[in-house]
Amino acid sequence: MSTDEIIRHIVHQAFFGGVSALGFAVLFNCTPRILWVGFISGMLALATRTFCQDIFHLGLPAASFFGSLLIASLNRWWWEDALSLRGPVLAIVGSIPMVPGSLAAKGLYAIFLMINNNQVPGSLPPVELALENLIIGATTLVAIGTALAIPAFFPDFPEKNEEEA
Amino acid sequence: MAVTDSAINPPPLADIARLTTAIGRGLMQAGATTDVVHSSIIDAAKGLGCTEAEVYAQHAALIVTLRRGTESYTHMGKVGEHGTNLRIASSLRKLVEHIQDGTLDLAAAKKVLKDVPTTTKKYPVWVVALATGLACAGFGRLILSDWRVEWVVFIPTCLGTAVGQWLRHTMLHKHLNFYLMVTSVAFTSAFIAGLGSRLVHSTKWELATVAATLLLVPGTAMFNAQLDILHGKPSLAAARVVRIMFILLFLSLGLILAQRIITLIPLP
Repeated sequence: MSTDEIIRHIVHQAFFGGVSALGFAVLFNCTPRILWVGFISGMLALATRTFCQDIFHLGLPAASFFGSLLIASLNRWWWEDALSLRGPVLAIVGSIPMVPGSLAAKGLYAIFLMINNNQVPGSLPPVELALENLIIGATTLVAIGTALAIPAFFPDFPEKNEEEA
Repeated sequence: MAVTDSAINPPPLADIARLTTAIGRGLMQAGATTDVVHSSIIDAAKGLGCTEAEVYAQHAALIVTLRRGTESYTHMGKVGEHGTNLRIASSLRKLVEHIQDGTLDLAAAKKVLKDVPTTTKKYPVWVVALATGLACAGFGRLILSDWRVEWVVFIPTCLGTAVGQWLRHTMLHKHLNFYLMVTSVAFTSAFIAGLGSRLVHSTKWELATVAATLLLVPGTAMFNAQLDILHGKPSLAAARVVRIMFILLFLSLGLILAQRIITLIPLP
């Protein structure tokens, strides 16, 4: 891909990541005042994931890990205090567009194909397709979940008065 | 004043247990992790004068044991359908903070807890349906991963998902079987999105059907299952994983049924 195409790809994925995150923020009944941050969260997550995939040629699980880690860190050390949030609300909302639901659905679809013995000539046999989709889907999910959990294990930034003391 | 009263006449453990179990139930139903449920119940119990609290969270029940001096009380409460409602979860965590810092006594906390479902604002159904439609249509763009192709599937996917979300809301409101709801919504969303995409001569109509069913993928439950494991609480995590697998299975059934029927309909 040329540089122009990479930029267009990242912008496309980031924008629709933001749209998805915003939609899910409404579905999860987030307050209206944080909806725009939900959009930013999804946008940053997808931009990071696509950047890692296009520039560093990382696989879906590793790229999703970095996307999720970025927004989980922002949520922990910035948004939680700035917006008086309790828990990784915006990190969850931003990570939802990276959930590999379509891979899981495709994996299960391939299992149904295998049961029906309805293979398409020239394509991968359904069992291999099912395994491939389900393994990538599961590892991506584990990567996102792990990245969401990591910032919670670190302490808060020290308060200003504590630093002065 | 309330603190002084409760120091002279501490509230019965049974009442504290009922309150803390109700808080835990609310949090679980709103999509909180087991760690949050445990810590909230323990913090609320200690804020109301208990010296020790133990919690055992299962998928459909909560068991809370409270101790105060030589007194001890165990209470078990049922937990309903797990969903995601971040505003309710946030209200309940604020309630626990107020109990902890002594601004609410048992009676006041009970009143606040009772009012949480009615005072917590929510979006109108049509707004949620439209937002979910946009979210899944956006998902469709993410799956396609190419800015140049197949913009025509955006509107059918959005429409299919919005109708599916409205159907989900209606079926859950009528307390119909959860898995029947999953299959029905997956079928409806996929059918509308797929048929609409075929009518506008899209070559990626199958992808539109998949994107339109993604509203049913239990993303929060997936994250919670992992966070539960990472926080050393594997039993509820295991129950969540089994449930997720069944949801995906029933989702796929609805999806495949819709795709098969769409292929049987001749194009104009």
